[in-house]
Amino acid sequence: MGAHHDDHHHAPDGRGRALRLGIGGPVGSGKTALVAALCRTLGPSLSLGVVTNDIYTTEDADFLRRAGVLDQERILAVETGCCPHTAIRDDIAANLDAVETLEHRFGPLDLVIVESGGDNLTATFSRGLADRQIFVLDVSGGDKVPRKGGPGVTTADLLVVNKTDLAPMVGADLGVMARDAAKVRGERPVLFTSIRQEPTAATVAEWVSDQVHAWSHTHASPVS
Amino acid sequence: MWPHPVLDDLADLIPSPHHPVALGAAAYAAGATPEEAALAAAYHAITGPATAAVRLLGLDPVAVHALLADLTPDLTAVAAQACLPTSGGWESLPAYSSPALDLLAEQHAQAEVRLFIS
Repeated sequence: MGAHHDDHHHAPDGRGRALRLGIGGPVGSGKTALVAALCRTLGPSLSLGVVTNDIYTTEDADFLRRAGVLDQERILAVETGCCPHTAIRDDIAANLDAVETLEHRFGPLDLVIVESGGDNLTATFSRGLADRQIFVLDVSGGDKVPRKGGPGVTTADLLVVNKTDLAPMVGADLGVMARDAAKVRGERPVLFTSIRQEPTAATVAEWVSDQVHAWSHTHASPVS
Repeated sequence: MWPHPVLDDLADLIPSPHHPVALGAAAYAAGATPEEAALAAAYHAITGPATAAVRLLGLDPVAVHALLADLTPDLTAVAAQACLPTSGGWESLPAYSSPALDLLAEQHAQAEVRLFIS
C-alpha cells in the first residue's frame, strides 16, 4: 500500500484474520451446493461466514438460508449488477466490505467463503479478496472443459469436477477429464464429487479444513 | 475535432502506424499540447500493464491503484523531461519504447495463455 494512502482494508499479509476462500465456476456447476455442503460438514467445528454473489437477486443466499446449514445472519449477499468476475477481480470493494462486515459482527472467524456468481472459464478471484480458490466444473458441461484451460481451471488451488453421477447419461469420460486437468494443472489437486449423492462433500471439506489449519498456523495474530 | 486532416494523411501514408505515432497524431488532432501528449503516453505506459496485472495475475486492485496514484509525480516529471528540447515541438517528442511495445503486443496475441487482445 502506498505511503500516502490510508485504507481501511486489512494489511495484505492477512495476519490475525480468517482464511478467505473463493469458490468460482460456470453457471449451474454446483457452487452453491458445494458451499452448503461445506457449511454442513465444517460448521460444527469451524466458525464460518459466507458471502454470495448474484447479478440482480439474492437467490444463492436465500437458498443457503433455506437450507438451514448456517445461522442466517452469517450469510451476506452481494448483488454484482454486472459481469460477476468484475466483483471478484477488478473491483472487489463490495465483496471485501461484506467479508469484513462478517468478521466484525461474528469474528474471530476461522473461514469466510466467497461464492462467485456463475461465470465463464476466465473468471478468477483477486488475491486481494481470496487467499485460496476453488474452481467448480461439472461433467454435464462437457468432458473437454479441462482441456480448454483458462485461469480458473489451470490456476485454482483446487479444481472440483462435480455431478459425476451424470457422467454415463451425458457421455462424459471422467478419465479424460482427469488426464486433461492434470496436464494443465501440474501438481495442483483435482477432486471428483457428486454432491447430490454425497451431500457432505467429504473430500473437498477435508481439503478446505487442511487449508484453514495451515492458514491459522502461519497467520496467527502477532503477540501484542 | 474529428475527422482531422492529420489523421486522414496518416491513414493514407501508414495504415497501421506504431503506437507513439498514432497517439501523437490523435493528440494533435484533439488540440493537445506536446506536454499533454507526453503525459498521456506516460500515463498509458503504466496504466496498461497495471490493469492487465489485475486481470491476468489477480493482483489486489486497491494496492495497484494506490501504486498508480503514488506514481503521479513521476509521470509529470517524465512528461516534462520529454519536452525539454521541445523547441522542435511535436517532432522532437521521444518514443524510446517503440517499436518494442508493438512487438510485445504481437507476441502477446500468439501467447498460449492470455485474456484479451486490444
